[in-house]
This record gives sequence, structure tokens and C-alpha cells, in this order.
Amino acid sequence: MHKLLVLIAIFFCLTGYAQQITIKAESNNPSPDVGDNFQISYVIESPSNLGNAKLVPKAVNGLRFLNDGRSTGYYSNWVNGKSSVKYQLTYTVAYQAEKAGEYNIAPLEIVIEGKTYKSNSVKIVVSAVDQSKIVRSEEYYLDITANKKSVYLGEPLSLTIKYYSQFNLSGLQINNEPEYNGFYKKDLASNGQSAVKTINGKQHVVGLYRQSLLIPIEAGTHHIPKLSGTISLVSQGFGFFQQTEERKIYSNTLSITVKPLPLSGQPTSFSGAVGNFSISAKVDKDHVKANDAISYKVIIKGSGNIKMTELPKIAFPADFEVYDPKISENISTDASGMSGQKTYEYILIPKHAGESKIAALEFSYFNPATAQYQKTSAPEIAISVDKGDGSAAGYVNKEDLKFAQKDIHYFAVNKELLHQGKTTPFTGSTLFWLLAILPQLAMIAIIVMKRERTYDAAALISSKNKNAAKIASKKLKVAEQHLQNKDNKAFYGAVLNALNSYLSDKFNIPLVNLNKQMIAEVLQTKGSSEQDIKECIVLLEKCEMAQYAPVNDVISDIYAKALAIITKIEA
Amino acid sequence: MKNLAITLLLLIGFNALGSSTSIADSAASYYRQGKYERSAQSLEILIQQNYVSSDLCAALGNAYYKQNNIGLAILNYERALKLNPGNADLQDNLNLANAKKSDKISDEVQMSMYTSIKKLNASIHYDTLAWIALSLMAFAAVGIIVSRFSAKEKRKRLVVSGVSLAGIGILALCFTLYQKSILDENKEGIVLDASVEVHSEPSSTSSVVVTLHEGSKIILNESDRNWVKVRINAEYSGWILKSSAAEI
Repeated sequence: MHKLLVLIAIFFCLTGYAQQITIKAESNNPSPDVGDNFQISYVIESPSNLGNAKLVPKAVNGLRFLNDGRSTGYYSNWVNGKSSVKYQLTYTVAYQAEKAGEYNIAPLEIVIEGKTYKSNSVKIVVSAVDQSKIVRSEEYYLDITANKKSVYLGEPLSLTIKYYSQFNLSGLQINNEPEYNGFYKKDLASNGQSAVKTINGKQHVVGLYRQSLLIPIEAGTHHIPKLSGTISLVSQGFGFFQQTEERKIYSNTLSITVKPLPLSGQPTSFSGAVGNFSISAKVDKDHVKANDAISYKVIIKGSGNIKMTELPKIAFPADFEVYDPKISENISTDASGMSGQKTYEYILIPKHAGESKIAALEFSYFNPATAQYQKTSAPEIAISVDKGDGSAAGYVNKEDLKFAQKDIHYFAVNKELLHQGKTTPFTGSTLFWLLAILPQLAMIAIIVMKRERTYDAAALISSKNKNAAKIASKKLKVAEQHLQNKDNKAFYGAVLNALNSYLSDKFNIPLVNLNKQMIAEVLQTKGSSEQDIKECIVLLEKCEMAQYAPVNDVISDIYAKALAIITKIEA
Repeated sequence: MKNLAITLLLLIGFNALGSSTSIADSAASYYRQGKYERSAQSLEILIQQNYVSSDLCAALGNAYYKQNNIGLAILNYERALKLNPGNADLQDNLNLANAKKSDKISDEVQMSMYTSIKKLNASIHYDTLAWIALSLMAFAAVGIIVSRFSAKEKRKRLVVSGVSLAGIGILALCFTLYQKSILDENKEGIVLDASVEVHSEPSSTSSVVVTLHEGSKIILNESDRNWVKVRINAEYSGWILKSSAAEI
């Protein structure tokens, strides 16, 4: 119970102590314009020193955090006869208004001994500034000028920002200096001495704010927006006490046209150099022994974007050992651009004796003055290498052959093989179909013709067979006439002729093939009797013999026999 | 311009052969001087005059390769290889050009039937097959004719072998015609424009299937007005403007 009371007492003490911490937030400019800087001050009062308390500035989208800072102090006061000491911590956060709108900056939090204390929130209204409606004061203004407004990609130009004021001024701050996207920027000078100049009959203080060299790296139209800043004017007060007064100061706008480099006529060796250059190459000695080092220097000299130039690829002899070059620059930058020289020094070590050549170097660049591509070249360098002194005697370092990267094979047009006309595919052509169909047609035609011919022959044979007897009887009648004329020899001939042609026709045997043996065989197959066959053969023999010698036979018998044989066969 | 005028004069003044050899010579000398654009122009004149040779296409491919015009280089190497299949130098040059193109789709457009027909055609060209088929059929016809004039025992054998030869021949002939029709319907082409949007329908308002880049090999199918249907692989096809690709 006792312990509990103590705890309660401590609690009340603590809350009482804690309640003495207050945080107040306030803005020095609750309604800034876009581009203006303003501050939020947090005043933290507490009975103990909070100088090292952790404070985190509030991030707000649309307001750019610039910086923060703190200051401490303390004071004592008497209230109702009690003295108390209060520590005061002032925490200041500076922002720049980036976008128009209403912003509620959340309360700042501070954690002391596990307890969180919060400030009030601060409302900021940022109003937009219509750039086009801003009237540049005649009395004080910024002036942006460029020495060239239309340049080629890579062609340097200088941009100068100057201030003009009819009053004395003690400070100038530009709040929205652009980032110069699309350019490589190098500042040349800033915040130079001011001078007094009379413009339109009025005296002005003129000073350089900044001069920069810009090298365009992107083609297109680049706008440099209206700059806005604050200027501290010194009022023409009396004597020692001068008052300053802050005023807004604006500039003009500027556009710069960056033309792309022309594609036509661009040499293959072009690698982006713009300006006016020359290239040279030299060796320290051109007659060395193998394994002795040679220094080979390539110098690119001229004005333009020399820093961005690249050395063309150098064709070193394949059996030279080449070390990475040492690059030294001697480049000066001024308002007209960069100029100077870039030196590449290669160390080469020829490995073998012989005559070698470092090929000519071609360096091409775009000259904006003539708007044309130009070439400069360093001549070929011949190097003769003698045999080494053999200090590494008896040992030859074997090396792999060094092949260049593969390139396409050359093809020449062989004029003999050049012929006009496209080859049409054979398949599907007229010749194709002719060759497909003609042999088949020929086959069919031949088969049909063959059949017709055999048919004809068969008809002839059957008609011959039928007419054999008729023809034979006709021929026998001729024989009969010879008989009446007593011309025996002719008679026998006629009978022989009649019999032979009868047998030939009847049994379809060509006359030339007809002989007795065959007749005997044929008659046998036709079923004639042995005797008939014999008679027939004998008769034929007699008739044949009668052609050469007289035969003593009864002629009328012969005639009758011949008739009988034909009749028998016909039967 | 003056050179072009001279070339034109040559074209008019000389007979066909004379002018063609002089153009070929000037193309070669331009190439040696590094004037690749001029060289390509001269060779294109020969192509327009209907001259055909593998060397001509290869030289034109080289002239385009040197100008870094990869699409036209690949197209002409492929044309050269078509006229002179299996040439190792040509294949080397094509590989170098292919290494420079940006689309990494496989070289061979994979389509089951087309791919196997194409492989077959590479080993036996359909014209060769046509000659074989026609010879078989002619042999068969001769055999059947001879059979008519021979003795009975021989006749039967001749007829059987003749008819079977004819059967094989007709089958081969049908296959040849099929092979040719497949190859006629699917022609290989090369994308020539730097980038080409492949549309799902033959109109520029339809959705884009894929964007192809210079040098990609595609299959050209049927066409519709100034659009042509292309097949990218077995899965995807679409329509592009005829002018943005060329047939090999």
C-alpha cells in the first residue's frame, strides 16, 4: 500500500514536470509563391536542457526541404515567489515551395523519457505564379544571353546570366536555376565584379551572376525557363544605418535549338567529334631490335568537344605487344568552347624481326562552321625491326597466332555465271506434265495398235483358210489348160504351185518355210491318215522332179491325185 | 549523280551482256573503294534486269552488310544460299549478319509439316524427285509396251513389274506436287523495316501480337490487299504490311 502511494506521487510529479514542455510552431511566411523560400520555427520550452533531443523535420510532398538548424537558450522567471528556469530550443526548418496548393505540415514530435510531445500543425498556402504575367521590373532584372541560339549537337555555346539594377544591392539569390538537362555544363565564372553602366540614360549596377559553357548532348529545342530570385536592395538611407529591402527579381526566357548531326555523308570512322581537329601520330624510333620498346603517340589537337572524342581503332601489327595507352589532356575551356590537345601514348614491343607498318589513322569530325563532315589523318608509319640480341638465348617464346575478329567473306560477281532469267521450277511446268502424260499415251496407243494388227492378221488367216480350196481349184484349172496344151513341164509346175499355196494358206505356214517334213507334221496333227500323207509327199516330190527331168507318169492321174488330196484335207 | 548518269548511258549504249559486265565491274570497284552504297545500287540494277546468280546475291549482301543494313544483308545471303545451298563462305557471312540482328527467335521457324518438308527439300529437291518419278513412270510404260511383244512367260513378269513401277512413280509424283504446294504456300521472308508491329488482323487498328525487328525470318502465307499473313512460329501468326518484309 505504501509502495503504491509512492508510485502515485512520482506519477503526479512527472506529469506536472512533463506538462511544462511546450512546442509552438510558426511560419515566417504562411502564403509563399511557388519558388519562394520560407521557414517553420518550432519553439520548444522545457525545464531541462533538450539541446540534444532528436528532431526529424517533416517531409511534405510539394515542398522541398532545404536545411534545418537549432539554437538554445534559457531564462528564469519568478512566478508567485517561486523561481523557475526554462530552457528554450528553437528548431528551424527551411523549405522551398515547389508546387501550388494547400499544405498542412504535420506536428513535430519530440520524445522525452518515453513520452511523446507534439507541436501544433502549420498551414501553408502556396500560390502559383503565372510566369507569363510576371512583369520584369525595369529597375532590376536578370538577363540570360547565349552566344549561339542554334547549334549542332556537340557544338559548345556559352550562357551568361547577368543582373542589372538601378539600386545598390547587397545580395542576390536565384531560387530556380534549371538543371540544364540535355547539356554537359561547365561553369566558367561566377559573381564577378560589378560595374556601373548607363542604359537608357539611367545608371545601372551590372554584374555577372554566372557564365557557363554548355555542350549539347541531346538534339531538340531546349527552353531555359524564367529565372526568379530574390535581391536585397540597399535603400538610399542616411549615413551609417542602411536598410535592405528584399525584392523579387526575374529574368527573360531563352530557347536553344540543338540540331542533330546530318546523317548523309557521315563517314564510317565518325565517333561524335564536333569542332575542328587535326590528328598526328609519331614514334620515338622507327628502327629497333626485337623486344625493344617503342613509344607511339597519337595527338588529337583542335577545338570543340575534344573531351568527348574517341581515338579511332588503330591497326597495330599483329605481332606487336601493345599496352594500354597513357592518356594526357591539355585542354582549356573558355566561352568559345574547349580547345587543346589529347595525347595517347602507347608502348609497343615488337616481338619479331621484320618490316611492319602501323596503318594510317583516319579521324573524322563534324565541323559546325561549314556544317560538313571532315577528315583528318595521320600517315602510315613504317617500322623496321632487327633480330633481337638474343639475350634470352636459346629460348623462343611460342605464341598463339593472333587472328583478327572474323569479317565477312568477299564475293565477286562471276561474269561468266551471270545469266538473265529466273529459273522456274520444273515441277508443275508444261514440260513436266508432257513428260508425265506422253509415255502413258504412247503406251496406250501402242497397245491398241498392236491389238488391231493381230486382229487383222487373224481375219486374213481365217479368210485364207476358207479360200484355200477355191484358190487351189483355180490354180488346178490353170494346170488343166496346160494339160490340154500338152505342156507337161508347165503342168507339173502349176500343180506344185497349187498344192503348195493351198497347204500354205490352209495351215498358215509361210511359203518359204514350207517343206515336206513340216507338211507331214502339220497333216499329222490335222488327223490325216499315214497313207494320205505319204501320197501327198510323193505327189509333191514327183511334181518337183518333173521340173528338172521328164517323168513317165499318167498326167491325168497326177491331176486327179492332187484334187483328191485337197478334197481329203478339206473334208 | 554524274556517275548515275554515266551508268544510265552505259545501260542505253551497250548491249545487254556488255552493260551487265561493266555494271558488275563498277560494283566491284565501288566495293573496293568502300563506296558500299554505290556498289549496292549497281548490283540492284543487275537484279532488276533479271540477272540471277548466287555470287550476285552474295556480293549485294556484303554491300548491305558493310552499310550495316542487316535486314537486306540477311535477305540477300539467304537468296544466295538458296541458289547455292551448302556454301560454307555464304553460311559464315549469314551467321555474322544474323549475330547482328536484335530478335532472338530461333532461325528455323518450327512448324511440324513445313519443317519436315523443308528438310526433305534440302536433301532432295522436288524437281529432282519429279525427274525420278517421271523416269519411273516412263520405265513402266516401256516395260508394258515391251510385254506386248514378248512370249507368254516373259509377258506376265514384265506386266507385274511395269504396273508396280508405275504405282511407285505415281505416288512419288503426287508427293512431289504436295511438297511443292506446301513450299509455295509457306514462303520464307525477312523483315526489312527496323521494327514492325505484327497485327492480329490485316488492319492497323487491330491489336498488336508482337513487334519484330529487322532481319527476323518469318513465313509468308496468304495476302489480303497490301497486308500479308506471317507466321512467326508454330504458335503465333499475324499480319504485316507487305512492304515491310521481302520473300527470300
